[in-house]
Amino acid sequence: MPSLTTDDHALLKRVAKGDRAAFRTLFEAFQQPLFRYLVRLVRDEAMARDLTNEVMFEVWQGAKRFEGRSQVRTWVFGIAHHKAVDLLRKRSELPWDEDAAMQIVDDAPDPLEQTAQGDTRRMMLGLLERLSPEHRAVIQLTYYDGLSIREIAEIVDCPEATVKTRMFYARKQLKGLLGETGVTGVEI
Amino acid sequence: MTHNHEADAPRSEAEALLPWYAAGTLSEAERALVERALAEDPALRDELAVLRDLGETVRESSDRIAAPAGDVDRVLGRIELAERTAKIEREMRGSLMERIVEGLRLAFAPPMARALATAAALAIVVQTVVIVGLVSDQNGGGYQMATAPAVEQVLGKRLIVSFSEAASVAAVNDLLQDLGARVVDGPNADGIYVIELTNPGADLDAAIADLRGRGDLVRFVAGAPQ
Repeated sequence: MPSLTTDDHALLKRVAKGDRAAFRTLFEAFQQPLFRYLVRLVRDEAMARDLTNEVMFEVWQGAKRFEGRSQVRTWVFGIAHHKAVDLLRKRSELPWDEDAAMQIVDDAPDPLEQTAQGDTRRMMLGLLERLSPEHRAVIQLTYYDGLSIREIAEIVDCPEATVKTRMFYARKQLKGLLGETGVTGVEI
Repeated sequence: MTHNHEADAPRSEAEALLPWYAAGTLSEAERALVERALAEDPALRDELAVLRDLGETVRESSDRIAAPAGDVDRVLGRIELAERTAKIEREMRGSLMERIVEGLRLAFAPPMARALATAAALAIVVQTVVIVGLVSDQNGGGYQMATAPAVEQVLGKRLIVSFSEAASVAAVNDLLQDLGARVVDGPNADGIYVIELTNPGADLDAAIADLRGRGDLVRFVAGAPQ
């Protein structure tokens, strides 16, 4: 994740006082990582753009209520995650039941078709797209946003053990999907 | 033969932590646990190599996604509108409360004064409902996502503008005429106007760029939620 070098807490305090220049700085620091996270979750750039703007508007409105118990980054990403999950539930792409979420394989295009002329990484990317949104979230937050298990648990609002379980199932699903594509013996 | 579950526990924990080891976000103690397991288990080392590849895939694909430019002005525009609406509503409520208190005071006055006060209070209530309704309509009854078509039909292409103190009325009029725009609301207490591009085919981003280029007259400009 591009590092947020600004002192986020100080910036958010200024935003809470109505400082638009501070908001602009905060927006510019968070827009890219938020947008990328939301694209990964909802798989639609127009929707991710609307959500990003919604999240930042809520940051403006909620800055006064931020108590500093968590990092600004996890707070902002938590808002984004919940907005995306609500949207996906409305679109019926996300089951309410955690057990069902563990089993789901999404209906993205078959990676075999995508990778007829591609390489292993493209195939891996295609397979990632087929994971459930909750699994994609954990993988994106781990590998792109560079967040710890504890930070991810705060963002997706679940126990740390659940984050590990989701990652375990994501790896298992990926391994299974790799097997379907004829690639075997790969440990993920 | 009995299976040694206790011996498996650190391996199993190390395997669960492996993705975060690959991402470099473990605590020192967790990292040490994973490294001990890695030293003893070639299969785990193979798994780590695949996880690192997965991480690289995620990073590469994410880096190719670029957020659209200019959205901060859209959100700031929405903030301006929301605050302006809230301020008007607060003022209306304050005014209404004062009138109601005055009405109650007059309720104990002679009959003629009471009748006049009742009529005035009714007029204020009607006025409040109409004005708040207008403000609400103007904002589409709350923020709409950029993709919502209904609001665009009602609002047309609108911008929020604040002119510099030195700008004369004539210069502003000329600027708006050149731009093909007209004032549809304002100014509020902060000097913010809402202007509308009169040509349906006008390019909103180009209009914003034009206005930004007139720093001698324009202090702030942003697209209103369309």
